[in-house]
Amino acid sequence: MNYRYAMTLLAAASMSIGLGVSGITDANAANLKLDAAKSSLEFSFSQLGVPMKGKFTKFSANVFFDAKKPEATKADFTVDLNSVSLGAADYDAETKSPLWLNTRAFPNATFVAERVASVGPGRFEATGKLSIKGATQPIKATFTYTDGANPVVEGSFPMKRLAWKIGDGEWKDTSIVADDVTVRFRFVTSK
Amino acid sequence: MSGSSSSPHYTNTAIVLHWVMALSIFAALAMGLYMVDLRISPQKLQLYSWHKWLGITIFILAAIRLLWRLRYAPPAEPHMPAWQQQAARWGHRLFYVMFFAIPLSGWLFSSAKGFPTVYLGLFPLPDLVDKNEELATVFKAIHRYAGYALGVMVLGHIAAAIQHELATPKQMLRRMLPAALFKK
Ligand code: HEM
Repeated sequence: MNYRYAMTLLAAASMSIGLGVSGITDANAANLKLDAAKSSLEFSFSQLGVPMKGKFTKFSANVFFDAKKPEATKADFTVDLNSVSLGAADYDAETKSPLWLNTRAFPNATFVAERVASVGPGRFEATGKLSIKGATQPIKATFTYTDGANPVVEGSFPMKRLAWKIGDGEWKDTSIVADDVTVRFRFVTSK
Repeated sequence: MSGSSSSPHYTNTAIVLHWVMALSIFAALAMGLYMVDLRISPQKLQLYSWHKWLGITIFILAAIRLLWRLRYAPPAEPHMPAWQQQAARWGHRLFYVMFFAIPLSGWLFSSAKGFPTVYLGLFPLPDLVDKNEELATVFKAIHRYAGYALGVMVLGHIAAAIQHELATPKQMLRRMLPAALFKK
């Protein structure tokens, strides 16, 4: 490989990097600011065959997303676990207790996206690491992205609560509280 | 609920319904009183489910029993003072009211609290009202005090049965005892 050829290659490489970087300023790409008040983060599970619902009211996110280039996504979410609500004070307290979320020791849950790919028009799949209660496990979420002045990201993912030891000890019995939990999110954002 | 049949006993169906409901109500009362003071635990959730299933079963049995009672008059009563007749008549009517009011208030309470009822863990029952904390408090109080009242009525009912057995042996009780089954 002669010197001139190497220089040409280098120039081409830096140009394509430059293009990649300029792609970030593309009109579609955006740092999305989460409007927590308009957004929702809910979960559902089954207790002795009875469908139960809960939600978190406090969460925040740093998101860079380009629907045309989902692989360039950078996203991390933080959920204040003390904001959990099952709609009954005694159950909220139980949910924060050590056997469940242990919010005193682990006040936050975090999710860091690792890979986002398009799976259809306006539909995406995100894989990443969900950390709760000191344990980190992979999850896979599917979501839709609706562009506009206030882009909406809406989707869900399944998780097995016991993989994070949520409901330890006597609560490991999945015939009382099922292992399967579905998390649903609707994030209203602004660019 | 008037008139009387010529048979000395209640019908087989009435006797079976009476005793199955008696046992079920006793169990539902005992479970209800015990479970409410437990700390939140798998056992508590299990008991709540069983209590709700048993309560709905009582509700269904009560509906069958009421229809049966309207269709088949009870056997003639042994002679007793008029005030006792009236007390029995209104007491029994009040039992029927309770058989419906207590399960309904429990179901309403669960609905208002935002916890659906899934009968036997298999059949989701409709939520009778939307989630509403104030309504939940009202239904909870109705359920509790009607439950306590039913407990007192059961004691009165048993006391009356014993009193009749002592005053006029082998006349009243035998009309409803399981021993009367298939003796026509
Ligand atoms: C004849 C049938 C029933 C009887 C005799 C009965 C009786 C009772 C009693 C005595 C209590 C305890 C009240 C207290 O001390 O606070 C209770 C609580 C309760 N019952 Fe029932 N019950 C019946 C049916 C039902 C049904 C059908 C449901 C729901 C579908 C139900 C739901 C509940 C609930 C959720 C509680 C707990 C209330 C709390 O958390 O404070 N019950 N019941």
